[in-house]
Amino acid sequence: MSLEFTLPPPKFKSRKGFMDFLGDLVTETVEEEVEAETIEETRGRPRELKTYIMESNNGAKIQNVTSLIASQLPTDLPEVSILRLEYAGRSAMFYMDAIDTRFLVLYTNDLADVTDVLYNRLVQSTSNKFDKIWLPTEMLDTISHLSGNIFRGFGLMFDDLFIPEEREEQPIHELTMSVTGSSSAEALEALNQREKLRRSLSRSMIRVRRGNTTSFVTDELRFTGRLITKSGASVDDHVSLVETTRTTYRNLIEKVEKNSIGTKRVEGRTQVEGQAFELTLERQIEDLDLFADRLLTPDLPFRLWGLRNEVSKDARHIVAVDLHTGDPLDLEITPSLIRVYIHQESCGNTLLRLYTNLQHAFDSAIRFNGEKIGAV
Amino acid sequence: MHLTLQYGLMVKKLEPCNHTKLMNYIIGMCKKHKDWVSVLADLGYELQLIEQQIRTSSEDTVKPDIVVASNRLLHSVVFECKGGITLDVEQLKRYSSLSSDNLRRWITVFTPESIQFDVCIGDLEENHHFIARMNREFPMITFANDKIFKTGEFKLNQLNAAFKEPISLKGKIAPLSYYSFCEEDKDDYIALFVLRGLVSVAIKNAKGGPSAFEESIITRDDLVKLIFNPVFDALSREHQARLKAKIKDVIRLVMTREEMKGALEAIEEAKGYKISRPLEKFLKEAYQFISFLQTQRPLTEFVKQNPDG
Repeated sequence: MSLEFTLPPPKFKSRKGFMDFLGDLVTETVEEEVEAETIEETRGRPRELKTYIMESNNGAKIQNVTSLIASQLPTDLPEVSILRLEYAGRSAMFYMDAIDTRFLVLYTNDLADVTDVLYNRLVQSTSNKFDKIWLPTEMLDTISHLSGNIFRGFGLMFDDLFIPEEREEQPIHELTMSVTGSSSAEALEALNQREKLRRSLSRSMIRVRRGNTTSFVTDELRFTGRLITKSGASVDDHVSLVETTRTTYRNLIEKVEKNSIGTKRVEGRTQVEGQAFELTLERQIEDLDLFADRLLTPDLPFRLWGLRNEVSKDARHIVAVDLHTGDPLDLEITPSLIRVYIHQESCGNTLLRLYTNLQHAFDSAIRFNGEKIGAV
Repeated sequence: MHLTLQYGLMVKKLEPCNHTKLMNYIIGMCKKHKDWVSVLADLGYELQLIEQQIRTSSEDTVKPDIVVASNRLLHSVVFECKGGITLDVEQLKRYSSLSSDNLRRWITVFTPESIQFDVCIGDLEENHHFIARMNREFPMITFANDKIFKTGEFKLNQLNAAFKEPISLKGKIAPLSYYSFCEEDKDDYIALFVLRGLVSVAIKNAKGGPSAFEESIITRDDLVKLIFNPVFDALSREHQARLKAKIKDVIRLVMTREEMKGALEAIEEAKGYKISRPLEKFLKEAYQFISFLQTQRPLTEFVKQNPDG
């Protein structure tokens, strides 16, 4: 089902009405993992429910977007609006739930290869302050093992962006893999035991089943915050997983932003607060200048620009800007450590984007303040 | 020492001034960092104030560089950072009349009525000989290349115990970004942050922020803090004014360079799309600009002689 504005748009007079509508977007299927695999793996089956969790520093109102045609219609629910996006002759409808105005949830049942393109254009539009969410490997693992979730698969994606071009011998340069089914946990455990692979096991997605034998859903959650229903029809379980992901991520972002560097006024006094974050590396940085160069390449996923300074033989200071938000940040890099200073009123997502992408492009065993990120 | 940079450019290594270094070293000791000394954080000390003017019991005024306080020990350390070789003896006398009553107005602890404090001079080993000669009253914490050591005694035993032996700095990397820069820093070092700030503003311009060409980015304190220096509003009024003047000098000079101005305009006009090329252009120009500053007299003089830019 795909609606155009030429048809009367749904009004959603109640939350139940909205949930029922989302339920209609999920195609009823029998749980058959094998069946799902025969269809396009990463795009989701046509007309299945897809959900994007989008970070916003601008609330839920879509500003003028120069990169695509966007129209937004209100519904009777103040937090829900209908968004039609169009670019290069392709269009899709999204149903946007802004119950949390910092983390907006966009539901759609249009084709994933269309909705992905449109969503990316929306997120990149500079007039809006949107970003994807960036789920680190350990957070995906935590979510997959939360109460009510059954781990049914995982994807790996590692592409080393930091090796010198002339070097041919490299432990692991690239690794992409997808494993689904009830034995996925054993498969992952086996991979974890391979020393050669341990720094390349960054998760691109997890597959999770929720519900019971009669009402369930199996979702694929990507590290960029996209969920696709792979089998089952329980919209309640799907939305519940969306909520869990959103709140887990929100809690982490709030902790990050609480530690930003800046000042606050307390009873007429100006106090200085904040602390740098430490990303500890298991894989040593061999060439700090090469590392800095790659980190500051605008086209790469880190999206940083910066001026660098040699503090000492073993330390570089990068005075940087997040190209996505324009926020300033400072990085101090040594062979085994990256200190990140997020400035007050800057977006915590900057840090999570850097950390998560370093997992996929440098070292999946990277740690946040010496711990797994759940311990922040 | 030279560093090879992107696009084959070379600039000399940029050094923060001694004051900026000392401020970061001491603030860093209040944080739990893997590769820096956390001796103050381990005793529960947290950073409370920077450059806060405090009236003493004898109606004098002191302006310590850093004030830290520990709830656990109900104790505060008032730091005076001395990056140079001189120490104002009159200033030290004023610290003698600082009391717990004067201090508790400014710091936040659970039971301020019980707070005790020490005044401490922070300095660098290269100047320690000169500073120590002028200070007989207060304990000193000195930063050498390879260690931190104490001279004199704190009133608080736990602090004496913590600094009893020199603390090795082997393998340690000092933080540099808690206190980005100050008025004493050289123009080339300040330029790093000003140039970064201009790029930040140009990108945010597409999201409804001010333009890098607007006067407000340097006249409005809130913008100066957001764009150039995150602890700007903790600085004293006088320091703020002098720092703003320095930032303004750098910006004025940037705006005389057509290539840089053009790149900034292009970043703003691109509204976030296809900005790689102007960013690359600005980066190249930025390194050339910094190299230029390294060969010049202090900018304050330059701008005075060329008031129209």
